[in-house]
Amino acid sequence: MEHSEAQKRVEAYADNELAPGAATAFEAHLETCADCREQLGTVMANRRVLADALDPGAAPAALRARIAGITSASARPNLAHRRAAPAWWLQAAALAGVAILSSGATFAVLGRQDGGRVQTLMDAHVRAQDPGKAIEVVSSDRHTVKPWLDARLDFAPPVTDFAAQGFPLLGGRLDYVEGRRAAVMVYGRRKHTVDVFVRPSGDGPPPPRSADRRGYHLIGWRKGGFDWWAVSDVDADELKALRQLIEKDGADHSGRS
Amino acid sequence: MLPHLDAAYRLARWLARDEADAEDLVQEAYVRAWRFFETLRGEDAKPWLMRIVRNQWFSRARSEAGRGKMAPFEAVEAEAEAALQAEMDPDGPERRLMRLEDQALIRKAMADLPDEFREVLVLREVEDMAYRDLAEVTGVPIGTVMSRLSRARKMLGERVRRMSEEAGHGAF
Repeated sequence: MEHSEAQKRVEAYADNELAPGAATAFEAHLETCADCREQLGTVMANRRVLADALDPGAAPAALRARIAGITSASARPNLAHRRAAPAWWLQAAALAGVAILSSGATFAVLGRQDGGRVQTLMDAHVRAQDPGKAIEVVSSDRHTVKPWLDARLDFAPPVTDFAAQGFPLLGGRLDYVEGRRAAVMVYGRRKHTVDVFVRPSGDGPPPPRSADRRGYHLIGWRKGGFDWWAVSDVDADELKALRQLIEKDGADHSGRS
Repeated sequence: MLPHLDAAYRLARWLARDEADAEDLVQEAYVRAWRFFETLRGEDAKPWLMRIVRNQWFSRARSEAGRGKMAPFEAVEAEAEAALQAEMDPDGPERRLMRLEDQALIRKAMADLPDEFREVLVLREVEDMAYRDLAEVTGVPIGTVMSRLSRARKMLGERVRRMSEEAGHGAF
C-alpha cells in the first residue's frame, strides 16, 4: 500500500471499518512506516480521551420516569380518540377538498370520486403517524385484535398476523372511509407501518387499484365481500406482496369452512 | 423498558447543548416512537431511534430559523471546511489530545462545532456506532460520514489546542 493511500485509511482502521483485506494491507504498511504508526497512535488515543470527555452520562431518572409514564398511558386503548374520530374525518375531508383543487392531473386518472377517497385514506394514514393515534389496540395477537374490532363494528373483519412473512401485526384501530366505519389493521414492515383499511363492499365503486401521492402508496381491491385498501410509505411492490398474503389467507379460510 | 434511552439522551444533550432542551427533545422522540417499542429491543433499532431524535432537533432548529432560512447541509459543510482551512491544513495529521487535558475545555470546544460535526462525534466516539449506522442516522452516504467525521475530529483537536494556549496552559 502506498503511503498516501495508507494515510487516508488511518481513521477507518482506528474505527475498525476497513475490510479484512484492506486492513491486512494497511498493517503491512504500518510495519514499515513510523509516520503512519504515529498518526494511528494519535487517533486511537484521542478516541479514548473523547469517549470520556464527551460522555454526558446516563439519562436522568426523572426523564426516564416521565417518558415511561407518558408511553404506558398512551399504550392503553384510547377511548377519547374514538369519540374524536368523526371530527378528524371532517378535517380529512376538508384536506381532500384542497387536494382536489391542487392536483388535477392525478384525479384525471383516478376519477373525481376515487381521488377524494384516495386523499382521505392517505390523510388517515399520515394522521395516524402522530404519536398515540396509530393503534388503539396494541397487540401482535390476532385473538386480541379481532374481538376488539368485532365489538366496535357491525361487521367482522378478517384479521391475520403475517409476522412469518415479514408483516407483523402491530395492532388495530377504527377509522372512517367516506363517513363509514372501517377496521384498520396496522402491520409493521421493517421500520415502517402499513395501514390496511377494510369494510364491507357497499353499492359504491370498487376501491381504486393504486395511487401514489407525496411518497405514499395506496393499493385497493375488492374481495370476499370486503373492500380493502393498503396505505404506506413502503414500496408499492411490498403492498402488493401484503395483498397477496391477505387474499391467499382469505381463500384458505373459505376453503376450510 | 425504554430501549436506547441513554444513547438518545447523550445525542440530544450534544445537539441541544442544554439540559432542559435535551430532555424535551428525547421526550418528543420517544412519544413519537412509542408505538414501536415492542420491536425496538434489538441493536438495529438504535440508529432508527437516534434518527428520530436528530430529525426532531433539525426540524425544530429549522422552524426556529424560519422556513427556508436554514442553510442546507452542503452549505454548513462548506462553511466548516473553509473554517478548517483557515485554522489548519485539513489534510494534515490530527493533533493529540491530552488525557489529562481539562475535560471542560474539550467539551467547550465541542459545543462550538457545527451541529453536523457534534452529531457524528458523539455517535462515533461516545456511542461507538459503525459508519453504516452513522449514515442511517444522518441520512448521508458513508463517504460523507467519513469525511465529516475526519473534519470534525481535526477541528475539535485544533480548537482544543488553541483554547488551551489562550488559557495560558502553553503549547504542548
